Amino acid sequence: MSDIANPLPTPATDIPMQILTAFLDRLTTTVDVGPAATERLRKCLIEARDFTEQALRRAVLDEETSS
Amino acid sequence: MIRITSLTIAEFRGIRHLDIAPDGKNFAVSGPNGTGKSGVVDAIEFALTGSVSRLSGEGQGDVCLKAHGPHVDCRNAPEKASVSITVVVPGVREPVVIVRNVKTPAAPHIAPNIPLALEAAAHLQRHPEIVLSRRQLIRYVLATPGKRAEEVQALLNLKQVEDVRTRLQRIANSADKLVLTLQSAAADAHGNLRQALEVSELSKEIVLRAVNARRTVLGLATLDEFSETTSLKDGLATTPSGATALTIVKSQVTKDIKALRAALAELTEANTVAAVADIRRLLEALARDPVLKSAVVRERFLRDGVGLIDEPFCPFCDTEWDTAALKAHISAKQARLKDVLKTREDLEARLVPVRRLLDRVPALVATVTQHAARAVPPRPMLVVTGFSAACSARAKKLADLGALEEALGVLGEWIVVPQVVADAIDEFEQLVNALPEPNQQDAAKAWLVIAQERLEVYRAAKRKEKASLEKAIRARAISDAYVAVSDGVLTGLYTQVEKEFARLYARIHREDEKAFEAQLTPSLGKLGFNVDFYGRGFFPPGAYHSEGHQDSMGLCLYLALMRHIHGASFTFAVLDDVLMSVDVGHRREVCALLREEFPATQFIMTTHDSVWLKNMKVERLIGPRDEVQFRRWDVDNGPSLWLGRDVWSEIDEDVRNNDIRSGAATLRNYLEFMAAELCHRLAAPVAFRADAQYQLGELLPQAVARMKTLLKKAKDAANSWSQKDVLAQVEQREQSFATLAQKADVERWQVNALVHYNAWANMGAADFAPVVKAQRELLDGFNCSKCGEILSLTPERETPKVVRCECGASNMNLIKK
Repeated sequence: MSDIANPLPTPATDIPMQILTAFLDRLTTTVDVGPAATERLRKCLIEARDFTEQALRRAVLDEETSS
Repeated sequence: MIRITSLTIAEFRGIRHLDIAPDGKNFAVSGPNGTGKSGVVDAIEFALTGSVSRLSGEGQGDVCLKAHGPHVDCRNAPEKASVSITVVVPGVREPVVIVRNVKTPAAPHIAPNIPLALEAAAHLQRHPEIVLSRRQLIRYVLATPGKRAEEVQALLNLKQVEDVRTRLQRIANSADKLVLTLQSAAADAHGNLRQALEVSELSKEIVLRAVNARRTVLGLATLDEFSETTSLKDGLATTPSGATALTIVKSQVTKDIKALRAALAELTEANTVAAVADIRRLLEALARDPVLKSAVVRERFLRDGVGLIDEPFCPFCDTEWDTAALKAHISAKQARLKDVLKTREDLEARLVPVRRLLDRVPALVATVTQHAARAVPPRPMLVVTGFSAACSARAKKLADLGALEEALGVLGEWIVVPQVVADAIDEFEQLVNALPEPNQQDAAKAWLVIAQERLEVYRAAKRKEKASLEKAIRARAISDAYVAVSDGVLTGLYTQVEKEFARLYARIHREDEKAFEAQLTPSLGKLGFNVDFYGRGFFPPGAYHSEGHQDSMGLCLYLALMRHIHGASFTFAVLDDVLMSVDVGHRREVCALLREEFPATQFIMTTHDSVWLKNMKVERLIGPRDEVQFRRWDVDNGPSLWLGRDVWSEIDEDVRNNDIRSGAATLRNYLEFMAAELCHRLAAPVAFRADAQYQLGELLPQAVARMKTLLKKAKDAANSWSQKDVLAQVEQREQSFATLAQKADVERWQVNALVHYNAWANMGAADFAPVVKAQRELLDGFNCSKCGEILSLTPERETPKVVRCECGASNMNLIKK
C-alpha cells in the first residue's frame, strides 16, 4: 500500500537557493565570467553547498588557498 | 509542515511526566509564572529540532542542553530525558512519531522510517523559527537595524546569503589589492631590465639597438623583432649542462650594488625617519579616537560609491535614480566628513613613498644575490635575503589602513639595516672589485645573459599582473552579480513582507489605524523598519507606539515572514507568551486574526494570563477542551494540572496521608478555579470586580443558581414543545442537581474553616472525605454524563439558545415554542 495519502503542500520558499539559482543564471546569461568559473561556482554552491571563504576563493579565482 | 497530535514529556527541564494531546488543533498551555509552561515549549522545540534556543546562544553562559536539558534529578542520566511527539505529516498516511532524548539529541527515532517522514523531520530541524518567544518578538521590532537584519535573516534562513555576499566581496577586494602589488612588482622588474639594458625606455628600436651591439661583438646574428618570445641571447653557446657560461660583469654588479645601497640608505636617512615619525603620530591620534577611526572607513565607502554613479539607475538593483541629486547627497555627506577625508588622504599620501621604499628593497636584493650566485664559488647572501623578506612583510602591513594596529607596529619600530647586512654587501663588492676586468666578448656575453634573465623576470611579472587583473575583474563581476541578484530578491521579499505585515497589523487595529503602512528597508547588512504613526509620518516602532502595539507589530511581522517563507506549508507554530502587554480589546482581534487568517495553522500558545486564555476561548481560537492549565509546580513532581485527574488524585493522597489542611487548601483553590470556569461557560451573573480577584463565595453560588435557572428554562422549553421524554430527562437532572448542590453547600463551610486554620476545625480523614465527595459530585453535576465535558451556553454572546456539551450528547434547548 502506498504511504501517499495527500500530495505534499507547496514546498517552502528556500530564499538562499532562489538567490543562488538566479545568481548562476545571471553569470551564465549576462555577466561574462566564463563558463569554467560559473561551473566551479555551481559545483561549490549547489552541489557541495560549501559556502566557506576558502571554497569560494577556489571557485572564483581558480586557485588553491593557503589558509 | 506538520501538525501535532500528541506529546509525551519525560524528565525534561522542569517536567517529570506530562501527556498533552492537541489533536492537530490550536492548543493553549496556561498557568501562573513558574508552573512549567516554558518546559512544554522547550520540549516541542527539542523534539522537532534537537535543540532548545533557551539553552543556547548569546547570554546563556555555561548553560547547555546536555547538562541542563534533563530534569535536575536526572542531570546525570540524560538518556531518561526524552520527548515523544506524534505529528501528522502531509503525504504520510499514518501518524509520524519522533522520539528524541537529551543524550543523543541529533539521533531521533522516527517511525515510520519512510522517506517522507524522514524528510519532514529534517525540514523541521532546519526551521527552529516555528517557536516564537516574546524575547524574539521584541528583537524584531525594537532592535537596531543591524541587529534586526540579523534576527530577520536568521528567521528567513538568510545568514548564508549574507555570508556569501560578504565573502565574495572580500575575495574581490583582496584580488584588487593583489593587482596593485603585482603592478608594483612589474614596475620594479621593468626598472631592473632597463638598468641591465642600459636604456632609458623599453621601445623596440632602443632595446634592439642595445642588444644587437652586444650580439655583433659575439658574432651573433642581429635581431629584427622584439616580441613576447624573443630571446636576447639566441644563438649564444651554452655549457654541456645547458647553462650559458658567463662571467660576472663588474660594471653591472657595481651598479646594482650601488642601487641597493642607495635604497637601504634611503630607508634609514633622517628625512625618512622623520616622515615615518610624523605618520605614526597621525595614526596614533586616529587610533585613539574610535569615532574618527570609524568615520575614516565610512568616508572611504562614500568615495568609492560616488565613483560608481555613472548611470541613471542603481547598478545593484536597477532602481532609477536622479544621478545629480544622488551625487549631491553623497557630496554633502562627504563635505561633513571633509576633515576625515583630509586626514585619510594625508595619511595615504604620506604612506605611499614609505611603502615604496620598503617594496623596492626585495627587487634590488634579488639582482645582487643573482650576481652573488654566479661567483666562483657562489657567495651566500642569506642575511641579505632575510632582511629583504622583512621589508616585504612590513610593506604589506602598511598597505591597509584598516589594520591600523599593524601599521602602527611597523611605524613604531621603524626598520634599521643590520650591520651584518651592510657587511655582507661590502664583502661581495670587494670580491667583485678584485676580479679582473672581462674582455669585450665576455662582457657582451654576460650582458646578454643578465638582460635575458631580467627580461624573463619582467615577462613573468607582467604575466602575473595580467592574470591577477583578469581574476580581479572576474571576482568583482561575480561579487557584483551576487549583490545585484540578492538585493533584487531580498528587496522583492521585504516589499511583500511589509505589505502583508501592514495588512495584518491594520486588521488588528482597524478601529484607529486602518490606513497603517510600514517600510522595511534593507541596505548593506541592515534592515530599517519604520511604521506609520496615525498619518503623521514614518517612525521606528518604539518611537511613539505603545508597548502593546509593539507586541502586536512583532507578532504580525513574524506571521508575515512565516507566511512568506512557508506559504501553504505554514501549518504549525508555537507562540510562547508573546502578547502579554497587548490590551484586552486587541487581544480578541489577535485571536480572530489567528483563527481567520491562518485557519490551516496549528498554534500552540502559552500564557500566564487567565484573561488572555478566556479571549482565546471566546474568540474560538481554541476549543473548550483544547487547553491544559498548570496549577503549580514543584521540583519533585513538576507541574500539576487544574483540569484532569491530577487535583482529585492529589486530594485523595492528602486524605490518605491524613494531611487534611493541605487537601482542603487544594480543594478550595480548585473550587475557585472551577467556579470561575462554570460562571464563564454558563454566563452566570457575577458582581463585577475590576481586579478580577473573585472568591469562592462570589462565584460558586452564582454558578449553581445559573445552572438551576437554565435547567428551569430547558424544562419550560421542552414543555412548550410537548417533548415529554426531554422534559422527563431535564426534570431528573434538575432534581439530581438540586440535591447535589444542597449537599455540597452543607459540607463546604468546613473547607473554609480548615483553610483558615480555625482551632476547632480539627478534622480527620473520615470527616473530610464526605466533604470532598460532595464537592466533586456537585462539579460533576455541571458535566455531560457521557463525555465529562462542562456544559456551555450556545451562542456565547447573544441570547442563549442551547446548553450543550462538546460531544452533543447533552443538548438542552432553551427556546420555547
